[in-house]
Amino acid sequence: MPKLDQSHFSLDVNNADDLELIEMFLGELPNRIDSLHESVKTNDFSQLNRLAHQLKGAAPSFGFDPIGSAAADLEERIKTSNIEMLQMDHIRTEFDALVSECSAYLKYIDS
Amino acid sequence: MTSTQQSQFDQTPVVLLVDDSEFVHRLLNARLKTESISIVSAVNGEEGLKLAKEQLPALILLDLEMPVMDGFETLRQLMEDPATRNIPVIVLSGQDTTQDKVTAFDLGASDFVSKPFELTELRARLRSALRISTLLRMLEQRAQIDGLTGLYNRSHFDMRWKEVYESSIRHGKSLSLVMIDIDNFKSVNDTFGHPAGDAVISGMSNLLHTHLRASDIACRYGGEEFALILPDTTPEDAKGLCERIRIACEEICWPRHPERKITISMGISGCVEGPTLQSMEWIEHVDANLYQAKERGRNRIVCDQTKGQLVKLPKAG
Repeated sequence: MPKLDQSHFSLDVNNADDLELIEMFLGELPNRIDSLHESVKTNDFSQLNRLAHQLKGAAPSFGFDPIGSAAADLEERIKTSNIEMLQMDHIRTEFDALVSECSAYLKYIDS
Repeated sequence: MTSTQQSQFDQTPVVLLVDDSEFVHRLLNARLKTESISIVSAVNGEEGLKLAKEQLPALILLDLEMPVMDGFETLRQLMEDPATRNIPVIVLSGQDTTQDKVTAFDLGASDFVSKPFELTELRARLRSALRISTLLRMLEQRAQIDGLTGLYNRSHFDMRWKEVYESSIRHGKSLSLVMIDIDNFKSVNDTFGHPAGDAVISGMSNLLHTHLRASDIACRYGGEEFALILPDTTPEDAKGLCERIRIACEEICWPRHPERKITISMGISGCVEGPTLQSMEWIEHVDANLYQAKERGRNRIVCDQTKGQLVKLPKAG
């Protein structure tokens, strides 16, 4: 992994323990994004809810606060809807926001 | 004996983390690296229960929102099992609603930490829970130890005798049981006072400590009565060991009453290839042997091999 730009991360990229956590989270992120898309494709909103819930809890601990709050928004939106009647359109805004926050971080690795 | 009791407090405490999120496991493993604990991981409630029973951790960190068996159900089952009931549980949760907290505490949780974690806070709460856990374990053990002698007490004897007896049945191994009574103890108390009597009791326990092996279990059975459980020991070997103890006791010069020797009587009964008596009958039989030793003039041992055949009780249903 290339050297990370400190300005994007709240954990210390020069500290070995912190860096390990950042890299671990980033390494897992593409899978998470795939899973988010997958659950939407199969209309599995309870799975989507679980993914959002996990990201909400985990992301801030790894210093990825924007992902955490986007995930919290999505979870909140799903929770306040009737999950039986839920349509993708109801949650599109929150879903897209979460995916774009996640993707933004992945760009920091490429650049 | 005392050294093995002590060691459980010196070991690195095991902390069981039950959480379905891989992130949380990695995070806490990295962030709690500096604490002197060893983390065992479970990714769902069922696995958590299994590991809790196997490892008897000093502390459990339990996530609430898990698929299949959630944290509340896991907590309920932990608290139902006498083996895991006293392990402190810190509940970890992403929803810190008052209702969740109340439910967690009502079900028996010791503490509640919200996600995302404030790591410094989690560490402090973890240390606090471990302190309580250590104290609880010490208290539990104290309840099994006689205050005057440091030997195990009667309630520990009852528990261990049952365990060792059953293990001897399973493995068809030798086992001996000994009852010891200090001769004319009442007259020591009456003549030299109760502190002198206490000194004799403590002296006896030191004598037992010196002569017994690590696997032997010595208990203060009653006032001046002691019981020895000797696993993997034939009655013949038990008699040899007890004879050495009897002679050593006779030879002690007691500072408070050098003119008065103390002697002991012992009843022994043992089996060679697994028990032939029910466990309660066995105790009664050893008691009868002790009574015989007293009748025949004290300061002696009456020892035999258990006779009869163990009647296996048919299983219910």
